[in-house]
Amino acid sequence: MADVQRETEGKDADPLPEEEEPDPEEGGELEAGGEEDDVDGLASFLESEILSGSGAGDHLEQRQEGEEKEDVRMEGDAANNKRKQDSGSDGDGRDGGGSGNEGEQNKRVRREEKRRQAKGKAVAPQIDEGMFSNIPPELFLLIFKFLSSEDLISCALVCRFMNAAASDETLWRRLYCMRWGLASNAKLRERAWKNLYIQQDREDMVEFVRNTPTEFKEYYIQMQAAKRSQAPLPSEVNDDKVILDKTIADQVSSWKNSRGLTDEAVKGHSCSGNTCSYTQIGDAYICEKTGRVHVCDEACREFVLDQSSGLLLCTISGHCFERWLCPDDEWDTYDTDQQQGGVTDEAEPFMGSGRFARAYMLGYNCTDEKELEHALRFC
Amino acid sequence: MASAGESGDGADGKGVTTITIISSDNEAFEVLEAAASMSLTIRHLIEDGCADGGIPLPNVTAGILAKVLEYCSKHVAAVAASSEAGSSSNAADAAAAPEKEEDLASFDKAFIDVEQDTLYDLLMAANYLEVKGLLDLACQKVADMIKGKTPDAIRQTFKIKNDFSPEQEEKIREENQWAFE
Repeated sequence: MADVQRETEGKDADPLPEEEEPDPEEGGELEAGGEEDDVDGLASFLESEILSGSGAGDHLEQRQEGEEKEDVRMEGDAANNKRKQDSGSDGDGRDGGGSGNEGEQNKRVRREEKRRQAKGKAVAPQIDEGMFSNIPPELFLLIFKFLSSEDLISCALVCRFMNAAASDETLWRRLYCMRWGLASNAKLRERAWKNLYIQQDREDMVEFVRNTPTEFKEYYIQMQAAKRSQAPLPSEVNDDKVILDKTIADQVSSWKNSRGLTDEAVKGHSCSGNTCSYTQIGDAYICEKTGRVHVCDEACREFVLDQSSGLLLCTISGHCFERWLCPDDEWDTYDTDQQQGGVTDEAEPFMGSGRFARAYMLGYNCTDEKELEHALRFC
Repeated sequence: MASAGESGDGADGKGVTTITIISSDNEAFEVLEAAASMSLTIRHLIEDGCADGGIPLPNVTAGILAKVLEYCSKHVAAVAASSEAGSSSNAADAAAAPEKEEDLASFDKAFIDVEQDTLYDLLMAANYLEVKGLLDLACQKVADMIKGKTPDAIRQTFKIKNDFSPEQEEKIREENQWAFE
């Protein structure tokens, strides 16, 4: 790296943030090189070209998008280094002696990062760059519904936007019900489906490990892990029948039988309130043409925005919802309590969403001691 | 294909109607109404009587529109064929049905095997035009590209920036540790 630096002397005078050893010689060259912004820009561009392994095409694209992106990228690299070196938020610890310009470089990086962080807090987490930058959140749900729980977790670690999108209630509810069926007191649960899933998986694992003879332990652990990597089937992805509770599911089945509809998913059918008519059983709406089930409750995602009222309207059931809490809204109040409360936890604002509130709500809806005990286990 | 295009009598005498669709870069495509109607957006426009003189789609370029219409035409033909086979008492026809389904599946597989940029364009077009089958196909393909990857690999594949602060990332990693045990 150092050789390349010297070769292009006078042009790219900036030291590479990645360099561990302080390089006072470079500092000398820095003075000789220009201090103009465009020199810096060119320097950072060349620098990022050298540093990354990816093709030049990407960088050209980034360059066209302006200097900010490069700063962001550099700051990203800088952030990586900080993590590696375990220094706090300051960049000064990185380079040893550092000349005046090196200091400036660091300052610029830090400024950019602070600006970025401030931006991140005030504004919605902007969707990533690259391929996904223009995909609306609803479309993400359509993509994520094909993923297993393991893959959803991986996605949640990618960036903030995907984190919020991958924690969506309907996704985890589907996964939960596929694996364990609908919890009998699901109506009473106050926790996000994602957390329910994780908790149940943990409990299962503990039980398995405790109850199996040693020679089978490894096998059972693998089996459990395999369940996490099981993705929803195409039929389960488009049809909500998997999340019905037993009584409703039975009624739905018998209704379908009476109409000569099987449980198999019908291919190529685009179900929408505008094109199909529905029979309602409880929360479930059954398409009279194909038997496809849509469950309309607070986690309904089949809505469209009704221009005249500004409400979200489910075309299948006719239910209206308030504006769906977008990933950005959720992230702004990032703390554990809120996270556990989940998207729909707006029923009793004065109670807040802490443990007491949840316990209160749970208890309030129970009909007897037994149910109360059962329900409170979730708390 | 009749150049007049509207309500013409097809060679089989079934009276097939064709519709003209115009891409954002002003290229016109003529397709069967049945095929075009696989797009709910277009179907609504037809039903609302906006189809005269062609339907303009300002959001879709010619290249992608061509692909979408290819998908629709193929699928609408397959649906027609299978309903014929279903009502036909010919044993050979009935036996051929699962084969035709396989053909369609392999068509789909080859169809969606495209560059990331094209895949992205197809995804957005299918969403805008509301072609459910194509949308599912594209989403499934993207999901397949995500499956089994680590977060870093996902970032690399789709060129996504990691915008977590180190503390946030650590916290999330801890919370989700169970998945990696």
